[in-house]
Amino acid sequence: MLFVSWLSWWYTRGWSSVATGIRARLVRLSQNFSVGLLLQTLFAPWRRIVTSSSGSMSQRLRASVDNTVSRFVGLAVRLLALLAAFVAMLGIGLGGGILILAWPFVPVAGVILIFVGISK
Amino acid sequence: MNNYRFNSRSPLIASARLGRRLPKPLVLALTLLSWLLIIGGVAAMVVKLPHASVSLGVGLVLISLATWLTKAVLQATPATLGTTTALERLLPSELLAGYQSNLDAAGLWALVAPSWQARFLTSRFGLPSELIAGALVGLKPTENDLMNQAAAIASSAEDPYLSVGAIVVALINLNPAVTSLLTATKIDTSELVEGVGWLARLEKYLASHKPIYGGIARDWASGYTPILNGFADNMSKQIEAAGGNFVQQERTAQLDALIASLDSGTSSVVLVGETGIGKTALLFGLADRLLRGEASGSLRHHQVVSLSAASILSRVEGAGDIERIVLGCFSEAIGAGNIVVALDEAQLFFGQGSGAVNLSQLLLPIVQSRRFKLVLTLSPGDWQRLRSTNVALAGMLTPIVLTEPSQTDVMRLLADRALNLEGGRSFTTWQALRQAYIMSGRYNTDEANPGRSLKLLESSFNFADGQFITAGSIDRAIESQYGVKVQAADAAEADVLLHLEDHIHERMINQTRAVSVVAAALRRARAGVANPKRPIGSFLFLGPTGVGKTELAKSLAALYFGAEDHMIRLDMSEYQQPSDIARLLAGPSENPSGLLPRIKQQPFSVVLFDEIEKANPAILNLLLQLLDEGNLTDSQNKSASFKDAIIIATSNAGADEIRSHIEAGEALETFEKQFVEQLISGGSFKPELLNRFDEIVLFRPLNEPELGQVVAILITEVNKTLAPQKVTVELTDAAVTALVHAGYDPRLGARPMRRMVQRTVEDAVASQILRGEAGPGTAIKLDVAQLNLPQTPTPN
Repeated sequence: MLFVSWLSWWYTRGWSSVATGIRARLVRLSQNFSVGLLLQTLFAPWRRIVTSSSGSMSQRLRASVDNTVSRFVGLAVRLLALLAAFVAMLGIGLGGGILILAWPFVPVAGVILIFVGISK
Repeated sequence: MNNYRFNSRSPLIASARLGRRLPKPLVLALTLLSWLLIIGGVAAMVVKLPHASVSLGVGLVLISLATWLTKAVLQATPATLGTTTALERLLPSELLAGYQSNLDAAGLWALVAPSWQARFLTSRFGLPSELIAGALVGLKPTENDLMNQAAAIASSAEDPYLSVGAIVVALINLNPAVTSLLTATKIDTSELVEGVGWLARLEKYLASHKPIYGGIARDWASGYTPILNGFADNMSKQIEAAGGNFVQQERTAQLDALIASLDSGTSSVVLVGETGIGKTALLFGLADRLLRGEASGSLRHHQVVSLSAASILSRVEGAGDIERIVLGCFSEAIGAGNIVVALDEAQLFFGQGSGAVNLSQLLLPIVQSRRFKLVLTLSPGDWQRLRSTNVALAGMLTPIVLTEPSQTDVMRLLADRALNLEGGRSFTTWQALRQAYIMSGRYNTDEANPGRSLKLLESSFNFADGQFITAGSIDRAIESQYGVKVQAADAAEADVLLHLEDHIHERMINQTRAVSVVAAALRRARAGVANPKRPIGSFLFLGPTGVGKTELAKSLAALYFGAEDHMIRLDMSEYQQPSDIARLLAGPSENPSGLLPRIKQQPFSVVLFDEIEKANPAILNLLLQLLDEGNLTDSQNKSASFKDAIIIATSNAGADEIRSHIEAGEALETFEKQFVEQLISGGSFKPELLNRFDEIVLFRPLNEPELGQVVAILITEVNKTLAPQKVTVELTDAAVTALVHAGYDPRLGARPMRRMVQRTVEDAVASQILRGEAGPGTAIKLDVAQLNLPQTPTPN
């Protein structure tokens, strides 16, 4: 009875729950890395640090340089974060994909490998 | 009605049974072993060891087994109601493991009773599990009926599962004998259904993941706010630190409206509601919702910070500092781009109330600029004042008016909040929650729900019965805060009540009928027999001056409420004009020593309306409401309860009539009814007023022997005054008789006797002490000659 229960779960709800679990993990990872927010604000100044100037040409030029630096810092930090998120999500995505594909073969492969090993 | 069926051969049952017996550490060990075998097997295959694939193969088989045990056996989740009628899919696994179709009610109870959910319900509702088990013996309901009832209970409780809680309540409902057990614990079935909902909310919270509030980059897109951080409380950070807002947010509609207003071009909102109605809680709800990202783009992941007027004032050193700080805070909020500023108790920013500053002129251009989101909280009164004093600013604000939630919603909020307050150290019973709701409504009319109930519940944690917060804990918290008696009378108090007449007569002479009528009314009230929606007792005392009407009122205050100063006395001759109504109904800000502020401070009091016949008829009409409904409303529209007060009105109307009846040798009882009718027909009182008193009590004039007893009481009082000097005084019989003769005035009763005792006895004692004839240990005995009595009765 338990053996049937195990096998029936493995090839039905177990398999679908792996897919659901990987999807949920990817969503949480995306939320933890604020991927949406990072993309929306990719070119925004770092911590909204901006200088405004209506003074002389040199002052305005200096403000413009400061703001560009702020945006560059923001872009750099966000790109790093996006890169880290991408690597993590890629790892989970690939690993999850392999797991989903390999899932139906795990018990069968286990049994085959045992027989193969013993028969050698 | 669904046709529920149970498949006893389902593999789910075997899994559930396995799950009950399986130790979690064993599954963990199996998982670890599997991974070791897989890694070892792969490594062995790489180095080409013989039989390496056996290790990998066993590892793969074991990992699939361990995964099944973890996910399907130990963490099995039942199907939700409505998705299937197969009971083996709907029942929780802890129940499924022992479930059989042919179980009787007692057998099913034995199965559910040990679960934490059943223990949660029985302990929170004070239901002894053994008694329920006993009452279910011999009952065998059909499985389908019982499960349909449980499903209906779960549905009523907004529980999506056929939960243990719902089955427990379905079992309790089976037997009328168990229902009588509910009556003994003062709960009803609908409250048990609410208990199932309480349990379902807790289970949902325990199963939920910690929310993600924006992730690592949330704050990278917003500016720094050093000044704001120094003067404001960050409500969002508080929510984040607590890991969410467990307490159910009942104000979904208002929260939606708040978010919609902030999201629109309006940008500034004012939350209008009484103190305690949940304005701050709504701000926390807003903070939680925004942090979760459950709002549109312009508000997503915004933080709510509450700017404190007190904090600003405490840091002010010189002129202009307030404006500089506030402008700095607002500038930062604009610069940060993700801040909603809350001005909680915003009246403090408009120069209203103590510790207030007036920033309305400063705020106006900021609000008009619509460059950041602002939420103010105000009471209805303060909102009206702002609208009348600063039309331009008020016009820029979108008001959202909060009304008091229903009793059901307040109870749910109290239940959820109680679990937070307990912190795993105590248990709050349902009866305590209900008592907090009832008692706070009765004694704290200055605040609205749910705040007033929550405040009382929190204070009751200092009065726990062991680990439990019970209705008794709430009663003790009320007694401690308001100096009132709400618990059942203890043995000593019961003795006082049962012998109230004797205790009153220790300080009052005769008037046996008046005393017995009043004592009986008080016993009824204390035993819980009287109508709780009206004052404890209401009496009209009629009779001549100096016969003990006020003395009886004082005695009641001392005996029933513990001290004579638990008496609020109003001379109604001061309320003869219609305009005096305003003075009578003055609120605490207008007249802190007025009737309504005093009854709020000390609800357990004797309220004495002296010489009521002299009051303006309009004021007497107010008395009708007081006697009927047990409350009056002050000029600020705040209700004051008189439900714990004894109302006594006195009048000299018809005093001569009473005297002539008594002098004619008639007993009070024989002419009482006729006398009251004469008062009505003579226009002294309206019938509707007289009918509202619990009792109309006639006081008879005192005769000379009774005045002798009054003298004895007065001498006892003199001895109490002399006690520190260790001197006692007593009078000879002749001296008492002479005093009575000298002090007797049939029009004024016993009133002149006190003055007579002062002039004669106290003067004589004072002279002896000053002459050195009396000292510590002296017992002074005074005779007629030493009293220096006047030759004629003392005039008024």
